Amino acid sequence: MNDKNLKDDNITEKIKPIILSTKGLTKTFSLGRELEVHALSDVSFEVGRGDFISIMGPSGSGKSTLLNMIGCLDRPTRGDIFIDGQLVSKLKKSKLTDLRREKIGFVFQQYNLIPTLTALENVMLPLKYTGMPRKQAKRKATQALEQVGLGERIRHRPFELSGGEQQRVTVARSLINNPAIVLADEPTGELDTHTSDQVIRLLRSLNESAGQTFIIVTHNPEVAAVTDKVIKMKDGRLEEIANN
Amino acid sequence: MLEVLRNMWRRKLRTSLTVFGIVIGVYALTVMGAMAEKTNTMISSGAKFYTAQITLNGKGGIGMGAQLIPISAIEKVSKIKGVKSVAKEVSLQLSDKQDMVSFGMPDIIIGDDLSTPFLNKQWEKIKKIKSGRNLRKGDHNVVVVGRDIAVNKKIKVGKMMKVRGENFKVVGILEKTLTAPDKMVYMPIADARRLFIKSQPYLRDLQKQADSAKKIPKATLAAMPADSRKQLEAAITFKPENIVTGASVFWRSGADAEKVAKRIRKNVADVNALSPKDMKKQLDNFSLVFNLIIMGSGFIALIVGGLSVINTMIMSVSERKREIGVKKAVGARTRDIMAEYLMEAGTIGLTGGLIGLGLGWLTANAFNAHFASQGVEIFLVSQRLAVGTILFALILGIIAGIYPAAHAARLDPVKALRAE
Repeated sequence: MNDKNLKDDNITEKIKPIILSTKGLTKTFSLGRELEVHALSDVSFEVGRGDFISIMGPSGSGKSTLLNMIGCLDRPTRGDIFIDGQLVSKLKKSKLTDLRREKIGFVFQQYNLIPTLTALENVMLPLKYTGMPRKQAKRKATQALEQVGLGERIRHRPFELSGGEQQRVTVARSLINNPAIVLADEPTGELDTHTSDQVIRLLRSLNESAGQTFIIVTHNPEVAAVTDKVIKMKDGRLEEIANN
Repeated sequence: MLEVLRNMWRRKLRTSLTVFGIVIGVYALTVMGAMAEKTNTMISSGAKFYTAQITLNGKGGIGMGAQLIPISAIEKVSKIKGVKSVAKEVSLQLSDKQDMVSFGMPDIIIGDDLSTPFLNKQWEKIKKIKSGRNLRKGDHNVVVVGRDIAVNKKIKVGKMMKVRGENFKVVGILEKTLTAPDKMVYMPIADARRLFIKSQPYLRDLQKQADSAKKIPKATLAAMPADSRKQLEAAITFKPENIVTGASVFWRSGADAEKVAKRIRKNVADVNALSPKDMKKQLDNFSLVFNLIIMGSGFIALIVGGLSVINTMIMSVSERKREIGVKKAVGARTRDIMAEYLMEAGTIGLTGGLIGLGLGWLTANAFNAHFASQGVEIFLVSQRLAVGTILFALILGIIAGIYPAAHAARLDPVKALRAE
């Protein structure tokens, strides 16, 4: 039994498949006729399945732009993005929507929960767009909320929840579709240190138990310190990739 | 669906005002439409009657009682090829007050020519006696009364009824027809002529002159100055029985009514002959114009309501940009967002429609109940009106939602997520 586990772990270590890779990713915004701003220049890196990594850098370093590209919310000016082996950077907008629904989960800094929906309904939201029957979606969402420790609060509206609780609802929502990658944009930005710790620990434990890939954009070195790898960005360029 | 309602309720005042806008529009459309529907039913059963005969009027329009048909013209018409019989009539307003305000048609006296059979087949179907009997040959100073008038004036068979100052015995009351006969009093043509002459000062004088002229011995007349003599001689020729205000022409079986009407127009100069087709056209035009005016005002009110739906939805979209961004981020397709907002706009329309229809229906019923004692019914909330109004409100809401919904669905997720 032990042997088998060891063996499996070894295999995972060895051939850890690439879930995400970018090649020469460049995003240029034109401000007026002549002025162009390079939000991203020639960014290339790879992320393995099950990785728990962070992206750090000062404001305006291109972190969010990079996250938008990876999250299929935006398309690069140049360069390629592969998610789960699929070239996504050239896809039509409608295809990107499908991809987001199936492969990506989002955790936002400001939680971005729908205020009119209960915690449960917020978590069910992504399932609504997959056409899953309501009953099944409800069961799944309830489980997800229990997983993040909010089993008691599923009927509450966002304004009835604390910041940490709201962020945990967002985490449950991001995982409900069983995505390949969860993208978290400053997930602890609005939280105090204690709650911040709890949320990061939650992400880490979900990463370990479910094997989901997490990419966390953060300002906070303490958050970055918990991750396996840190991608450091500066002026739209990839400065370095540091292993923790 | 629940989410749609919750979203609508987020801005209670704004949503209520917008719904209220639709309510007013639908209310107007229901009330106005109910009036039009009532008139339509009246016209359509009236149309059946008028298309079963050729209707003759005095030249110069369909003036009630004002235009006389010369008796010579009636005689000419009855000799036209294809004409079976001509039933003369004398009609005038029931009320002798000119300033009476009334909804729709005024009450009317019809003097029937009982010596000629009235061969309008539709007439038998429409005009049924509720109590008492119909007019018959040899009657005088009796009336058969339409249902609305009977209810209004609490008239009973066997009792007397005062018509333009004279007493008439009520011999019959008609069943409700939902059209013109409800507001009519039928009497023998001779009685109607007498009332008609009394109502027209010129004819009244003529009759007086005729009566006095007849008493003047011939010798006295011959000794009079030429001017007065001529006038009196002319007066003597005045015969009340020559007074006719309208007539119904019936054609022989096998004859083409349109052709018969054409021949009448061609050969008899002093009458207007309206064939079944002419009459139908006239009635159709009338109901079209009537419907357009009445329904048009309702529609305008509703369109204004629709504009306020657009406004509300645009505001909702701009307030919820971030939510739209989130929904798109988690995989909502363009059509998902579109559907959500169209549903919201449609719900606003439908809610307004239901409330407006309810209020309109209550108003129409209240009015009808209030005026029922006077035998007047001016509203009819028909099924097609109710269904049509609701559908219209729903569709209007959805159409008004298209632009805001499309705008929402096309938002760029990155920008939408950044919105405050």
